Amino acid sequence: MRKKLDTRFPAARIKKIMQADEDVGKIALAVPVLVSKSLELFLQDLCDRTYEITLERGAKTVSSLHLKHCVERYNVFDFLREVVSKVPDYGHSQGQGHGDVTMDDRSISKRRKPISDEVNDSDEEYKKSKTQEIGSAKTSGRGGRGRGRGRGRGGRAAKAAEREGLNREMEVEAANSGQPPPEDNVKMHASESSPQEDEKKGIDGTAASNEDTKQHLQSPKEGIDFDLNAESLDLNETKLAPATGTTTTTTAATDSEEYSGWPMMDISKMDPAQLASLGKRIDEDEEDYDEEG
Amino acid sequence: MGDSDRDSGGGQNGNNQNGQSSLSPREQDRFLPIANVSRIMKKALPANAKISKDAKETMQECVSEFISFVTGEASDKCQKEKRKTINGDDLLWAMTTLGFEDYVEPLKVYLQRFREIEGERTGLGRPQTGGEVGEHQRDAVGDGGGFYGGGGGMQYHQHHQFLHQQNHMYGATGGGSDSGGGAASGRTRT
Repeated sequence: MRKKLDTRFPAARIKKIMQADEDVGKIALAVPVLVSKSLELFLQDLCDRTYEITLERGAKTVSSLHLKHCVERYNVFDFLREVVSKVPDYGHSQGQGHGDVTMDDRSISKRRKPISDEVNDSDEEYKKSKTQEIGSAKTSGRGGRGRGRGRGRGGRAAKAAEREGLNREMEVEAANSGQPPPEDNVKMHASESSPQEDEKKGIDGTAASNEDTKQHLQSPKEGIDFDLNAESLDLNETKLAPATGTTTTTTAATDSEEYSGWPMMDISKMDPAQLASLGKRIDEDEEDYDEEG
Repeated sequence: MGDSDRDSGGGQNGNNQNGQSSLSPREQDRFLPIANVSRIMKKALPANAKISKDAKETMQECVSEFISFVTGEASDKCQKEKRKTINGDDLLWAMTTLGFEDYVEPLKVYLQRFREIEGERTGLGRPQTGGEVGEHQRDAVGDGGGFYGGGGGMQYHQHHQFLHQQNHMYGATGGGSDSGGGAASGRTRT
């Protein structure tokens, strides 16, 4: 049966990788098969573009450095920067002023991207926000994986690089969230705040979580300066996360979190239709809480 | 049975590569078998192209990262719509959102073929079900529970129809109440 569909990757392994993220629940039967096929398309895509770079360099063997340059060149592969950042020869081949820079015009700003550049490219920002979100999830939910990878390849330096990358991306997102948001940005903001709050709750307990929740809820009507302040808090807590090593979730904290969120929502949105929506959401939340209890 | 055989094969490949590449066993479990990755890389590149070992290993990590990236996006969508099971359409939506829209049409064709073949078979669900343990979210009573208990092809189709209806219903609600605070609260409860 599998042979008919010509599946090339083991479904159980795909499922394990998918569910490594604790937020991922059940997976429909067709999904691992669909992922397996999409991986073939992805690999072909990535190989084609990497090979372009191999040829440009006059090389005959595709190396991980070519793959790294491919990731840096094409925005669609931005989510892989964390993976390829471990590839060695970075300093040697990509120092400022070297000829390689002309091939990789983004390499100079790899670690310190100017906010203005990011703001101008909304599509890229959107993808980066997803990378950040996944990165945050990994920080809280898959510490084992991160540690293992660090030991295997680059040790502390690699982890430090990862942290720095995540922090930069978070800064960029803070700047974005201060602007009048189109629909996509609203979604982006919504999805971003959740893993951050999970992380904070684990680190600092109920009080800090409540404070951060209020700050996030207020951010749509505050200027960029306020968001940067909120972001600095995030940075501090992000740095603390590796030291603690564990993330703990408690029912009490969750309950307090939910309670403190709604009054702010009521204050910030006076539109009757939205109040009605909030009413529905409150009901839904209560139901979900009962189910979990 | 087929699944078990494939998994064993994958494991062996992984072990071989692990010995050569000094990947820890724990880390290796997070990746797909490097032999499969390598085979598709060779298929994608010209016949005279050579691939270094480090490129294969880095590509192996990229593949796992792609799975996690797309899965995270699909999972977020499910949570916003108060669903607990990621389905094929969620995955296709996620790829479009993340910039891989070119993959969606070939995958739709593939998914259609899969559903046609799936209608003819029985019992595929059991190996999948056996693998699920523990997490309260996964054990929660929901739209997926009945199907995994049964394991029959017909039930799968009913299950899928239900997902579509639910998707449509929650889509409308989601549009009306799409707000940062609500989503944040939702995530906090998880």
